[in-house]
Amino acid sequence: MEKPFALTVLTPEREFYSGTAESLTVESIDGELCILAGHIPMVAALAVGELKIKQGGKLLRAFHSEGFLEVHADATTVLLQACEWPEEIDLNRAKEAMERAEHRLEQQRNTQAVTRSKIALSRALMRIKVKTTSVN
Amino acid sequence: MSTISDIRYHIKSIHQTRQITSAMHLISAARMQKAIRRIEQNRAYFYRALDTMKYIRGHTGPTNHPYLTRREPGNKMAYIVIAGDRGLAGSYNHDLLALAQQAMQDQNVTHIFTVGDIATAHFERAGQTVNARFENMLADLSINTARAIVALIMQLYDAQEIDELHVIYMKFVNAALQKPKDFKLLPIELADFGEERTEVQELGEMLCDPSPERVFDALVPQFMIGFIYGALVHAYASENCARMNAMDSATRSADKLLKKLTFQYHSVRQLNITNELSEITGAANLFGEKGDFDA
Repeated sequence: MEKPFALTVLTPEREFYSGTAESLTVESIDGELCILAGHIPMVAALAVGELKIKQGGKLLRAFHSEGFLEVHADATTVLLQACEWPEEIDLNRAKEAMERAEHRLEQQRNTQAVTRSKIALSRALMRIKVKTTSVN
Repeated sequence: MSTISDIRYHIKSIHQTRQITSAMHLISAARMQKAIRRIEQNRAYFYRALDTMKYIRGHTGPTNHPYLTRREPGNKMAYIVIAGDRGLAGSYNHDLLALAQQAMQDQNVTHIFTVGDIATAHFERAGQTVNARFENMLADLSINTARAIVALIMQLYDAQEIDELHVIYMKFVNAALQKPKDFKLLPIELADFGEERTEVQELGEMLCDPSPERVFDALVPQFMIGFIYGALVHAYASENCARMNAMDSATRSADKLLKKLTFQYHSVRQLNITNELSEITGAANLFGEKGDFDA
């Protein structure tokens, strides 16, 4: 079995996860990132994606939005604006958000507004994906 | 002198008011506790973002990041004023708006954003334009509100429509002390933040993925959302603390008044009995004198 390390996942609203993990996978702004025990100290910016924690041989999955990750010798901390377990995701709300974002994207011309709508859309899509593909 | 039914009516109405104020006291106390937990939770998040930003700044040397660079003075000022959605909170709203008024004096204010009905009403009454308002969201605060506010101000800042942004809110120091604050959020001066912090985490050498600049760019909105969310929960905790104290003293005044009125009620009642008795005995004596009534 892989060596576990201490992991904390925080959002401004709550402590999402606190415990140990054998591996952690998140979506950085440059692509998927996987952390194992003994990783060198690092800080990374995170995009919207899927958070995967392997703990005791089990795989826990969750939705995560933008944030950042800090790896230190003694602890790893993930700070996210939002993080939700599949059972906490409101599918209808995500679908509504998706429709709203798609609608906005059709109308907007301003680059910044388009970027924001794209992020909103990716959040909605990722929530739907995590919710519908979860088995736990 | 008031009649007995007047006093009874008065007692009843004070009693009802007292029930309302004491219920509001309990509700405010519960809401304040909830907000205090949120302050603590957010603090961990915010300081982590701050530390990392300071670390990157310290290691990559001076960069001309647009969010850190001061623009020319006499510039376009924007204010976010966070007050309550309702009154009945002692001097909370008044103190905060007084500070806002004072801070905005002699400034070239181009944008005003308000959180809470009371703040909006205040500026509209004074004939000032409110550019964006956020109402009735403090009680059920979600990070989405902070995100919406930050998206709006970053858009204006990028378009050079505002040069400096201040946040005016009531800082919750502890249950006995809340201070109105005028805080400059943009351009960001990292040294201004975290003044009350006792322990600062020292960061060793770290790898920045994908690059220090890009991590920094990604952190700026995070940091601002953390700050705005923090200001909102501080304001909500302070508002409920002020309301709790106001309602507590209202309940105590009601108790005092009830005691006084009950005393009055009994003395009037007593007086009525005495009057009635003396009337009866007077009448009886009258019959007695005539001799044909055997008392």
